[in-house]
Amino acid sequence: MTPLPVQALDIAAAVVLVTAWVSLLHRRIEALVDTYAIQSAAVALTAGLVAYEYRAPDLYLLAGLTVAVNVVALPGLLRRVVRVLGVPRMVNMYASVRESALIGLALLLLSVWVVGPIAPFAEIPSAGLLPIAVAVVLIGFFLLVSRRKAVTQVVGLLVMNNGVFLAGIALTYGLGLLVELGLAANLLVLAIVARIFLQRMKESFDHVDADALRALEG
Amino acid sequence: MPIPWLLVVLIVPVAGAGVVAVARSRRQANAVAAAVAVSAALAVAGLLQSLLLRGPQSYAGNFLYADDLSGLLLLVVGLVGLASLLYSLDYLGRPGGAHELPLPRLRRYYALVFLFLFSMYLVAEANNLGVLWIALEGTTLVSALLVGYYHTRRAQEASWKYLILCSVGLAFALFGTLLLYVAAVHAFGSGNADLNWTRLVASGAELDPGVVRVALVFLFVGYGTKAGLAPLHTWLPDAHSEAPTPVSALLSGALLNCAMYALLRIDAITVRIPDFTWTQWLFLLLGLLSVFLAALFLVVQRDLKRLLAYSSVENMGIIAVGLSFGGAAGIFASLYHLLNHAATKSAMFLIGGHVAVVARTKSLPEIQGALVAAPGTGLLLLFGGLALAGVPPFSMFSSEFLILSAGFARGDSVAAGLLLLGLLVAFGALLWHLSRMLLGDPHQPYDRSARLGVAASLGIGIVLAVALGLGLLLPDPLSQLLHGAARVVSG
Repeated sequence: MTPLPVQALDIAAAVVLVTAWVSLLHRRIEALVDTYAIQSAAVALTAGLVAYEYRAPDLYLLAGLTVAVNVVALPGLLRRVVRVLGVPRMVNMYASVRESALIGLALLLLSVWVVGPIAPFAEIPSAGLLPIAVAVVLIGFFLLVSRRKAVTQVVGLLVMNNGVFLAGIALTYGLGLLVELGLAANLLVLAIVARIFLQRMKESFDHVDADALRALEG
Repeated sequence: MPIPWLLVVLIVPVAGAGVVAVARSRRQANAVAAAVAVSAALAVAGLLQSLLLRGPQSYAGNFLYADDLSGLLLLVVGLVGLASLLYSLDYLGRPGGAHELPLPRLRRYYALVFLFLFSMYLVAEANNLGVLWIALEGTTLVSALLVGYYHTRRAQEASWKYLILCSVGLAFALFGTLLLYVAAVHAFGSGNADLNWTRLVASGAELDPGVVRVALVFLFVGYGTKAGLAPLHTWLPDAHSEAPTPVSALLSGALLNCAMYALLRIDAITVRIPDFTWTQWLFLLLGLLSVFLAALFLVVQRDLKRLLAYSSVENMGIIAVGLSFGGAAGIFASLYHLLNHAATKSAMFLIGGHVAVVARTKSLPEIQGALVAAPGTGLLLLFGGLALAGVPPFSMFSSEFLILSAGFARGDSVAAGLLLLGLLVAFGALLWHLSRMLLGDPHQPYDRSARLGVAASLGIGIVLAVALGLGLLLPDPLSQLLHGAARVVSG
């Protein structure tokens, strides 16, 4: 019988994966942001469980940071942007929901196929999470390139970052205090910079649709 | 007690940003900018001198670390930073300057440039690869704000594309860094591994090639995007052409090299794995692709600043190909080219900015007859253009020649031959555009009242002198630095 925290760990990681996939299905931006918040909470839970099970106290801090930044601050900022700037509530896509869902599954298979072989390292018991992390990174990337709204692109980038965090948690048990603080700070600044741009875009285009950004070619 | 230059280099720009934020007049803001430009250059000079005298040094445990390779990047950032800040004084800061900014925006501009310089210096001095990553992402965030500094539609579009594409690239790079760490844990056991470059490079030979291969793919996609290597270079021509001129010079002359520096650090680790050639192949593939794509876009280009931007893609490609040749000779030639390109390209962006002001346009077909219509500006353009095309005796000719001969000497005749072909196409394209801009009949009256100003002339003069001077002779300390840096990579 696998110990309880390890089972819980699998479930938390599964939630991270499933929320990434579900984010491909949303048509409303608020729902997308909520899903991202849930995913971040699952990442934080994963960090906490790995910290407990594999005695990596460093990771408690990362879990706390993830809750503060990825679960509370970033979704809050995004919701404010949507409300204040009057972003139309619907997600505009290049790919239909059905195509997105299928591509999401294909990306999962691809990551199992590519990184599966390098995952089983005896020194790192939780390395089995690596294919999941890669899949989340790739799905986030697809979300970014297949959506037209600037806000959705930011969410895609954040989903990618959650995947990278998951890999960090599973593979390295944290990267050291300083690096983790730096990463969290970077994410916050990224969101603030993105907000400044959305504000300016709103002023000069009267909407925040990245698809309108087509003047520069060649 | 010796002066902790590693720390001084980082403190100067941060302190400058704090002080300039409370400047009460344009005069004060400009004075602070001039002071930061000069003292940052002096701090870098101090660090370089102590590197040459005492060898690699670290500070705060092993947190900050500098060897000759860091020294080279610090030199490049310091040099381009100095020139571009001096140019800013006239271009943006002086009342009646070409793009005069109101005081609050001028203060913010200077503060952002200082933070930009700080994060580039941190890239050069970070020992931990995680901190290096954070510093590089920091450069993206700060410089994205600078790219969009004119609130035009085109600038907004360019900066958004830049922010998103480079952040995505860097997310991949962070993933690659994690995988590299996994390889380290596998080799040394979890208690002994960390992300410090000094640690990784010392035991590079024990890293598992399988994991490193996957890590390399992510690292090259990530840092390659930021370094402007094809096929993920598409943000570069937009960002580098829409940014204010002094920022363009910093982006092309300094920032691209920061990303290339990250790849050099990775190369230095993987070159120590026995029989491992993936890094060289990736450099060769991305490098040749960049040279050819850029050469084609140079031919059909219709915008002066985009022409310069594509030339940056080409030159990053040349550096990458040189690194793929490897060995002390190939790496030395590439690093030499990195320095020459930084000086030449920043000079050319600054000159180009002035040409655009004088000719009242940056559209290539409309800029004609500059030598007749505005002889002073035309002469500057002639010098800068010849330097950039790589005509002897300018320095870019020397380093391109060295890279090619390193390739042929190692028997990589196919790769070196292809590089030569790409170089010739780019050379022809640049000379053709240059001759059209300089000769012919001016389309419209030039703005002869636009003056370059003393500070801006000094800025251009410094980088242009380096671009020419390094082709004539390579001073001893500099040659020592370049050879030392090449040894850091080649092992």
